[in-house]
Amino acid sequence: MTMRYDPHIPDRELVQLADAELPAVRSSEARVHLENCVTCRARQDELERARERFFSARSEEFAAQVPAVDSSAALLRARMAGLASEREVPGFWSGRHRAALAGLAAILVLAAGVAWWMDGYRRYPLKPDANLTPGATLSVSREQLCSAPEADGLRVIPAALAGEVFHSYGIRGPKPRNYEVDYLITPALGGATDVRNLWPQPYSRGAWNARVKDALEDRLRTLVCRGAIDLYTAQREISTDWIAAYRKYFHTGTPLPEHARFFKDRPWE
Amino acid sequence: MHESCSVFVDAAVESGGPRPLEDEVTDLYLDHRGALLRYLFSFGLSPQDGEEVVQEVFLALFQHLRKGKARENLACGNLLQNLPPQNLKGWIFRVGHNLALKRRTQSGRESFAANHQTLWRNHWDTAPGPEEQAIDCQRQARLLAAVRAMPRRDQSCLHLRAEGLRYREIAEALGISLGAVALSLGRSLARLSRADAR
Ligand SMILES: [Zn+2]
Repeated sequence: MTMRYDPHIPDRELVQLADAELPAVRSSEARVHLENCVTCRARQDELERARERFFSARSEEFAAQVPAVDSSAALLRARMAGLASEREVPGFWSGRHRAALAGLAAILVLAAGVAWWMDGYRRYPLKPDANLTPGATLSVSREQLCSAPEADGLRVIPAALAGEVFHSYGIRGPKPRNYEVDYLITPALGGATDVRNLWPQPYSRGAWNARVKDALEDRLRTLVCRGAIDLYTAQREISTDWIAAYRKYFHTGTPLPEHARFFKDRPWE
Repeated sequence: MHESCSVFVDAAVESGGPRPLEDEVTDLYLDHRGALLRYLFSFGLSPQDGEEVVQEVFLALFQHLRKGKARENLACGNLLQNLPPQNLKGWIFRVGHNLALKRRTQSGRESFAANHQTLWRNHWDTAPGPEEQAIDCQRQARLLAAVRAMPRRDQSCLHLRAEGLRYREIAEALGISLGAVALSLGRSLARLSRADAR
């Protein structure tokens, strides 16, 4: 193989750049080159198109295969409880016998695990309780909403109101960073700051979390303002079953990686 | 922008002491289960086998953290926060990866490969519809086939990246260098773009 000087950015670096994984110095050089080079821009588009197509083919392929989480999480709880109750006994109770004992313990505490899980559902609702949070809207028109700037500053829910929301859901002393008090119908879609429109949403718990709902809200607002759906429909769908609405508008069974990605690193930061 | 509609409750609450380790591990399980399962499916594991491996991974994590907790005797504070997050995620996927390989050897490669084929194929066979959709499906099938034809490490890098892992997390999961991750992804996407253009 003869080595030839190639002035263009290699594929590897184009991919690293798109992934924000290229070291800073090289990254700014590459950006300058990209701005001036049609060839490299076209190549990067090609690579990213292939990536997007593979990712979406893959998520379609796998979406239906992920079973519901309920019983498996309860089983894990039960098995952990089994391990936790286990003593460190050397000799006879090692290896095989210990495994058998752990298995037995797991079965015995499975019922407790299921009970915990039901309780967990109460404490960590994925969807709001329709009786407590039916949703409430302001009377604004589509035109008014869509002409307002999208990000209208930080909307702070008064502490007293947040307290009222927790109280109505029977949550006492909510753990830090477990919840955000979220609008059922976002103000960007005409939702009101009213206890009937607020609920404690688990922040990072599971796949259907606050980040994913945010993505749906953005999508619905775009569709409303584009005139693809009417405002009332958007309000109704997000307040009835936001997870069903997400599935419908993103054509997917599970949260898309790019939406799930928002929360993945966050609780640690 | 997204923050505008919500408020953290950090400040509003009194802390109730350290959380039980079981709760921490359950939260991690709920956050990572889907991604780990999909990764395991990429080895051709059946949903049942995948689910079982995920359980094993989080039980191992639980044991790992319990031992760490006993050793360091941390009276308070959140143990998990002492672990760098990239190591934690890398750790989870590394253990899952190794268990998947083990299970694949156990269940025999042939039946395994057959399972893999049907798993990937049935979607395309059942997809009905107009011509454009058929062409779309063909293209998707071609891309998936191109990935299956790649060396396992390249497949792993792609699948882990698709689940949103950063390069350092992928490196940790596969026990390779950052440079190797970048090289692999660059090579694989180039291959995919060729398959896509065909
Ligand atoms: Zn160039």
